[in-house]
Amino acid sequence: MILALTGLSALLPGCTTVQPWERGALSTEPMKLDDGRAHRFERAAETYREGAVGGAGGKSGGGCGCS
Amino acid sequence: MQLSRLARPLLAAALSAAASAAYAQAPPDGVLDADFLFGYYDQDGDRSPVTGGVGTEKLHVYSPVLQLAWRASESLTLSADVGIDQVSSASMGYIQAELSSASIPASDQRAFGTLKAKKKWRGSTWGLTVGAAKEYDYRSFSYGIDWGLELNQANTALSASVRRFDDAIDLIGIDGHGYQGPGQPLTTGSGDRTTTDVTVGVSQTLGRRTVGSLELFLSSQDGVLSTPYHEVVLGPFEPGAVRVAERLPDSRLRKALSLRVNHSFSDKLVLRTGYRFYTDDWGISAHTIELEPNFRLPSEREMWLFPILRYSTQAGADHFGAPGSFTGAERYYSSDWDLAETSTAKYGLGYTVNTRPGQTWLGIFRRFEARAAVYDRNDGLTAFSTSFSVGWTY
Repeated sequence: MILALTGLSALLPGCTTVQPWERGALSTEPMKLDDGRAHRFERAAETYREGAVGGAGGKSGGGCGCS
Repeated sequence: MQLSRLARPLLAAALSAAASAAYAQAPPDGVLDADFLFGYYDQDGDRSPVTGGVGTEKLHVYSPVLQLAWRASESLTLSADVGIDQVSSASMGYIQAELSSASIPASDQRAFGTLKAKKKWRGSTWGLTVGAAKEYDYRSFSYGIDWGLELNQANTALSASVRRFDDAIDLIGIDGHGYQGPGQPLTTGSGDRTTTDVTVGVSQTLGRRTVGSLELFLSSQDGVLSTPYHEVVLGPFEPGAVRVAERLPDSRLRKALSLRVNHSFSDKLVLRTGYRFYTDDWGISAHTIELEPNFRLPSEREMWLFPILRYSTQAGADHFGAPGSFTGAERYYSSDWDLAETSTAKYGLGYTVNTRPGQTWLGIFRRFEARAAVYDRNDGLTAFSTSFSVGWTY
């Protein structure tokens, strides 16, 4: 939690107000912070093959399909 | 001359705004997005937990998924996500061979579906999710709520979500029935497992070419967390050794912190980066780094080619032991190498195509993504994964 708050405080001072007409470079597909649709299958495999699951968009409940 | 000096930045700003608006333009009401996804995964190794931490881990998974999203109005979006995983596993075949009547198939299906409603209300966006999944030995029901808020002219976004999974699990022992080992109570019937996931996050525009996000993930689990048909060998690993079912605690608290930063070096190069720290009360901690440098290809459409790089290192669970390392006097024991101290590397290649309104790709698609990656774990497990998604907008 402390680490999270430290990280947050590191990000927020960078609060830049970028105007809509300045967002050309921010609007491209790879600048999206979410995973692409097809990435979900790799996330699922990582969830199954690593004990350190969670926090990466993988499923953490609802069964497995992994044995 | 002065006019030219003035006109140039104005023209550049106008073109930039037009490009931005073209990408960010909200679709009109009644628009339906349909996406078909397909994933293939295979793996091989020699440390299956189903056979005590030694034995083939061969596995194939085929996963078709259909996603639909209907923008009913400016403030309401309804979406559905359904799929069936077809799983073929050597370890399932092993348990099947133990049985006189096959109650566990060597291949099986995992069917799942999720419905979501998203509504803008009083400046925030609220979402409700319900889902269900079913495989041969479990049934799962899930539900959740999420919230999002954009601030500072959409340069800052806050988000939070809570999701709960209620699972019912058929208890299948190491002999394919309820047998758990000598001196152990038979497990028959079914058990329960509940999982509550909480996620809070903030994303922030850090400049005209940089965005970042920070996400904190907490997950609490209770109930049957052991897999009762995972074997553990007690005493020396030799033929005729005593084999019992793995025993793990019936609760687990997991925490993860994810940081992402994407930076556009130029119109043709964008670097996506990610770091994640994970820890839980079973003794596992992990660090993961991801890098995807995206290179734009010359095209009227938005096409990107990118290498996929990921490295992860994990400290093992307190309850993990290599085959033959347990005596039976321990309170918990498992020889599942997914819980061991490991490091993994993933490398591959990806390709995306996105079109603007009025454009298509190959005459019919609005968007396309393909990925292929090799996954190597330092205990010998290797895997290959490939996937694609194609999308239409009506």
